[in-house]
Amino acid sequence: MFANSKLIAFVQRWLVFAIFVLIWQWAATVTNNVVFPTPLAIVRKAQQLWLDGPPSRLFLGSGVNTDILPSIGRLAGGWAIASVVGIVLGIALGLVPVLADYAGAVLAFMRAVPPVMLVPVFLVLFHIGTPMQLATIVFGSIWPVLLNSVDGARSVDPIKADTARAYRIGRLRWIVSVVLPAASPKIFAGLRINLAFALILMVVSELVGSADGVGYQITNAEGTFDYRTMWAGIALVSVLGFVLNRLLVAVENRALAWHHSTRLLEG
Amino acid sequence: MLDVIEFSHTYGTGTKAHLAIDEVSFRVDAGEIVCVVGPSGCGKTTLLKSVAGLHRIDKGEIHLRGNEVRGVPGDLAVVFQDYSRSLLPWKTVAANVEFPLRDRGLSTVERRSRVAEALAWVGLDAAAGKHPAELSGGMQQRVSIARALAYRPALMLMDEPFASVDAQTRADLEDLVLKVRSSAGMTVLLVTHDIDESVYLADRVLVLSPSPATVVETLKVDLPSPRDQIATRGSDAFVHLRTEIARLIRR
Repeated sequence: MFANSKLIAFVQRWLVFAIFVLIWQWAATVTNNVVFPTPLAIVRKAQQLWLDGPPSRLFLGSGVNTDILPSIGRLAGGWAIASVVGIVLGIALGLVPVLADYAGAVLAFMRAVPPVMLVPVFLVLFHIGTPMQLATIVFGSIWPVLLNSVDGARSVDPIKADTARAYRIGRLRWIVSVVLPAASPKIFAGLRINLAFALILMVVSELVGSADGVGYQITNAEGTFDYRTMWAGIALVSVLGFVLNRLLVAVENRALAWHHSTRLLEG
Repeated sequence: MLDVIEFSHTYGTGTKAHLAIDEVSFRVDAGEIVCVVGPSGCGKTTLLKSVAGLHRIDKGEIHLRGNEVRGVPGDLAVVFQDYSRSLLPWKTVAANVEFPLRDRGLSTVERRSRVAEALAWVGLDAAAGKHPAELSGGMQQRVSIARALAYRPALMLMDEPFASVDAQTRADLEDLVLKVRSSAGMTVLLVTHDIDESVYLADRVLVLSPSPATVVETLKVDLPSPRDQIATRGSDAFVHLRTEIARLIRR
């Protein structure tokens, strides 16, 4: 019974996706346009590019080192910096209203700047390379988690605040053990949007200024009319986004188990 | 133990100023249970929060064990009405009870033994590893009470502690307070709008007037101990006291 319902959920989730791929395969075969290769051809190309290595290296080919690892490194680094800075700054702004009053206008202005527009600025400042890409990712993706952290820190229940004061809970313990967990549902929601932004900006920064990584590979392939490689790069980015989001949701489900059970009982 | 001397509290300033408490004086002796009753919105909770040091004291004085209250005293615990908002839902029952003990310089062993003792007092030994959301409302309020007991305060403040639980649970929790008072030697100041509850629990009942709160009367409750939900509440002395308090509040 239980296994059965799990199977149904699995089918529901992937059925439309499978049909989409089949239609794509059929349409690409019929039109036979070099710019739109079939999914099968794209997968085969991806295998050649990244999975042609020996079994001792888990079949990972040399392309992984130049195309995938630099991108993952930038993405993870940028996302981590944006998240940590966003959470720390957001909690501080949320806890000290005066600080938020002073910084509010500057933050609203900075947030309104489309991050892609800053790529030329960062190119001038840092030249082509990882620092420029990190700056783009951090600046562009910090906002969701920053604003959600402010919101989360502000919305700590006043009764919890009174309780903590009455029991003379220390300032640091109050922040770490009460404010942070209380804000964590909102922080995690911010982290997920953050991750999506970081992925987009990683690709954008590599399209514009990079000598390696998947974004560079996509533009390079496009420039040399190697459309299969270009599509393989695009597919790689979506797979990367999907897998990372899944990982984050798994972490969130563990960390917020208390939150979900509270909501279930109340609902 | 607790001396409140001509204490007044005003909310706001200027034309918006609202006098909530007007020169209230009373005392609570060690080992006593004193209940504060009064009509809704009369300033009972304000009074309790002031004793807890959660409000600034503008006028009058509050002394706890001879020390003037300025800021939150270290030997005082509060049980709020809204247990689900007072407890930390991400911590287990045992971790909730232990939480206020962590900044008090106690060893891990000492903390653990206090938690175990407090949970045993309220009958929740088996629930130590659960989360608050897995417990009923009455059990969650027991956790709050255990948290207060583990803190070993000189004075336990309770703000409408049983207003959000059903009648049977309420009776159980009232008896629990009487039990821990005798076994742990606790001094309790409890705010309630329920006249019967105040008479049933208290050694003395403090009757407050409608806003701004003043002390209308302090009544000594001479009911035999241990008290019993059926026999005590049915006795002539009980009925007489509750009628008198009701009359004082109506006036």
